[in-house]
Amino acid sequence: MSSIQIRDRRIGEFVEAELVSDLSTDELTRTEHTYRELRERRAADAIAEGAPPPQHSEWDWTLKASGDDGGSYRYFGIRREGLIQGLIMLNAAPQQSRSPGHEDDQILYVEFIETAPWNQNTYARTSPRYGGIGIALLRAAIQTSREAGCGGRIGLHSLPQSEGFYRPNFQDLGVDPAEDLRYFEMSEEQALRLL
Amino acid sequence: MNVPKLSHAKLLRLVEQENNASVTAGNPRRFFKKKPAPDSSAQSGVTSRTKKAFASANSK
Repeated sequence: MSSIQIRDRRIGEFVEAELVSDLSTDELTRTEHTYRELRERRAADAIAEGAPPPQHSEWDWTLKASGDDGGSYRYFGIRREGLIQGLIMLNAAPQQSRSPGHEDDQILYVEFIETAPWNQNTYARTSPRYGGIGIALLRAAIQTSREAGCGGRIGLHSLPQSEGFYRPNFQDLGVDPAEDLRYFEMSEEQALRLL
Repeated sequence: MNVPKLSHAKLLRLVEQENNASVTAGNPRRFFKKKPAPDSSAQSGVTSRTKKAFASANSK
């Protein structure tokens, strides 16, 4: 079993969690059902308050899994207290870097990443339980990229609500008109700083 | 897979960055079964990559 450190925000200490590689479809489905109920509740709360719902309110990890083609996608989760505290879907087929001057380098692309609703600050009904879930998942992606010969380089399209998280640790390569989202890429040097 | 351990000081700095922002990435339009309205905007629509994913899934 692989372990990874996350922060228990209730006691203010780092704790060990299980890094689950290649999450089973059953566990992915169970996790989606749990997340979905809370996402929908959060969206309803936001609408009732006259605020926009979170931009990932309509995500569905089981649909993402059903769209999987060619076996190049890998799912990782962070398990603690018997629950998946966050999920990442990684395209394990290397892609060309979009970073100027690094077109010969390859990256692994993060298709989706989400921390559990109960770990997000935006979920107002309870205090967040664990911190560092996103960082832990990205560190797993970086390690996978290194093992695939991509030097830890990863790329992703951030939702606007999350750009502030990616900007300090990635290169901001601007809005990608094909996706209508800002594209971020982590260089080998930036990746090494997170390992 | 073994992810190297970080020092608590370094990890704490990263966790604090994460606490200040939601951690979500990925295009919500991708992998959806529902076809969005044709008047696509930033919050709705289908990208070329999504179309490819659907076409691929439907060909199975």
